[in-house]
Amino acid sequence: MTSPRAAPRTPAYQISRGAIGLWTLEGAISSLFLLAAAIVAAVLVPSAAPAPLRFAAAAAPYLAGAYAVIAVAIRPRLRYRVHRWEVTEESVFTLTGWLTQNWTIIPIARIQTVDINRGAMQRLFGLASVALLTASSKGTVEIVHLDAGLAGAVAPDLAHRAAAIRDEAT
Amino acid sequence: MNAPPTSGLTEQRLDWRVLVVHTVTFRQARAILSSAGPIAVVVAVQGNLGSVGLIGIAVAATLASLAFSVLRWWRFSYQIDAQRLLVRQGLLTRSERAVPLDRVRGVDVEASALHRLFRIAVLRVDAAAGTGGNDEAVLDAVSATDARRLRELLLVQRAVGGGPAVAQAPEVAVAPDVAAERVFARLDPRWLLYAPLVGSYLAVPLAIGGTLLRDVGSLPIPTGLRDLVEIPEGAGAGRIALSLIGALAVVAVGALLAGAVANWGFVLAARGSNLVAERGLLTRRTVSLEIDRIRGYVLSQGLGLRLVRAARLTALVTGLGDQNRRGQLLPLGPLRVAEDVAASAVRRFDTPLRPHPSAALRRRLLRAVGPPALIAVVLLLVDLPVAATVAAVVAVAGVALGIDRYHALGHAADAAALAVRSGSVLRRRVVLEQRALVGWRVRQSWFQRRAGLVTVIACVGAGEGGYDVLDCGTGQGLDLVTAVSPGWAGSLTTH
Repeated sequence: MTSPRAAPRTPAYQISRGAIGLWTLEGAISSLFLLAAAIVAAVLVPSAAPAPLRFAAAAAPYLAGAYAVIAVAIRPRLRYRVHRWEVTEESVFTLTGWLTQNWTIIPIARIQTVDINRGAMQRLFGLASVALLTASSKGTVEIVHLDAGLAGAVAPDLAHRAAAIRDEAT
Repeated sequence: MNAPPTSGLTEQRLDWRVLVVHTVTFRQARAILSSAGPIAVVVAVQGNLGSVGLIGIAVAATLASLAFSVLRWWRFSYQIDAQRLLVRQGLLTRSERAVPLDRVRGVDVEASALHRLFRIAVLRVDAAAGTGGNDEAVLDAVSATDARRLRELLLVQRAVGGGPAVAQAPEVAVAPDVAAERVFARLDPRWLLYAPLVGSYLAVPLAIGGTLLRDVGSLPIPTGLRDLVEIPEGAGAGRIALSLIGALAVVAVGALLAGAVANWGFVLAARGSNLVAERGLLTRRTVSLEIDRIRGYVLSQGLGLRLVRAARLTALVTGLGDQNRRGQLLPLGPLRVAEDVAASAVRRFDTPLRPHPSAALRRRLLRAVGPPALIAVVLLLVDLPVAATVAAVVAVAGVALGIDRYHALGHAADAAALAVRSGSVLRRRVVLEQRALVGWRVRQSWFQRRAGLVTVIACVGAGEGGYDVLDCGTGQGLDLVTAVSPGWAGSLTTH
């Protein structure tokens, strides 16, 4: 029996520091689009429009600005602090998220496919993700933003171990 | 295992009687005639062909349909050898589909009223493809006796071929003996009275009614019935109430009929290593589920069914497409019967469910009351008192909904399975076997963290892929995970 205030364990390893840069860049790009849209809205709404609409249009650039601060300066660092992963004897264990956190654990015996994903932006920062698929659509684990070299070592190892002890019964 | 030595089946044609069925239903010709049909009608009308010309067109279309049916029948063959079912078809481009027998997941037999008239049936062979998707071979159609024989043959061959898989699973409820049959459930016609309380059956008369309503004026409805449906202008409250009651009665009877057409004569029985469900008033359908692949069940009750203590039961099966329809173990019935069927056909689960902490009640109430209350305040601020009152009433009703949703929450684990319950408008109790689990996910939002709650998601390769244990205590959730998967999920809590 665990205590009512118990928390799931934190997996052992952090992801690559490059993830902060990648998430900051992604946040900056989405912030720019949002700011542009908000400014266009603020300029285009005529002064004759109903009061709630005018108020919303006037507030939009400030809201977009607040989003930019969070997405560029705060969220990448929080995410980096939360994200963790670990491969144990029998399972793969990850922790993701920032405000909402997700602990996911799957047995290596039930891994069906192991994928390495390298997006264009990930390449820029020398990162790669390892995706592990099981028979369940909700039981997919992705270890995001590892050093590309590390991902290249972890994925074949997991694929090999999964093939050795695969449990087909599902 | 002493299965009869089945050496297979030499190359066979489909039953010739299907030619009649396909000709009169324009089965093969429909694709071509659907475009030619309107043109023919236009030609007939414009050209003043008269009745002789129309009959001529009808005869020509029927002959064309017959020709297409014959061609397809002539070029279609199937055979079963020691390892696989082979289906060859195609007029110019020949295709050959081989379904390995050990990949056969189920064999469904379906016969429409017309098929039944000619004593033939459509055989659908459901197979797990190598890629994980489902593959299907369809024999449309074979004689009813052949259908029965083929189903036995395919399922027995699979059981023989899949010998090791059977041996691995110690929890097979019924020994794989082909001759044995044990009936788990039979639909009592009185249970069809529950049909008007089920949304999917209610939808049938409503959809038909909606279509009819568009041109109600042009329909030859008897005056007495029309008076019942149509409300004259300036009608009194009593007249309107009478019309409403009449409409409700019509919809209820329609739902009853829809339920009867789908489920008449429903029987669930174990035959060999399969659960076989048979049902239908006009189209008779036989679905077989491999017992060895059943991983649990879902007992679901909509609000209506809950009021009369009735329920529906669905099996969770790995690698089964269209699970909601094909996995049905009891389409309608008293809760007590549904529970008995679940216990005898799938597994018994008696451990009482643990309630969730009172923090979960606060969250349910906030979710149910908060949004309508907020809308009410906003509406009041912009001076819309009537709409605000409606929103306030919804918010008050939200209290009852939130409390009911909280009381639904619960979970438990026994030596080999876990159970989860949730939902108010649709209450579901899911029982999942331990071995079905392919992963666990623990989700905690910022608000849940402050309340000491988590949502635990049991990931399985059957049904919806994952089932939520909503808002349980953090300790409760971790206890559940380690109780159900003590081995591989242990590292979620300990080093």
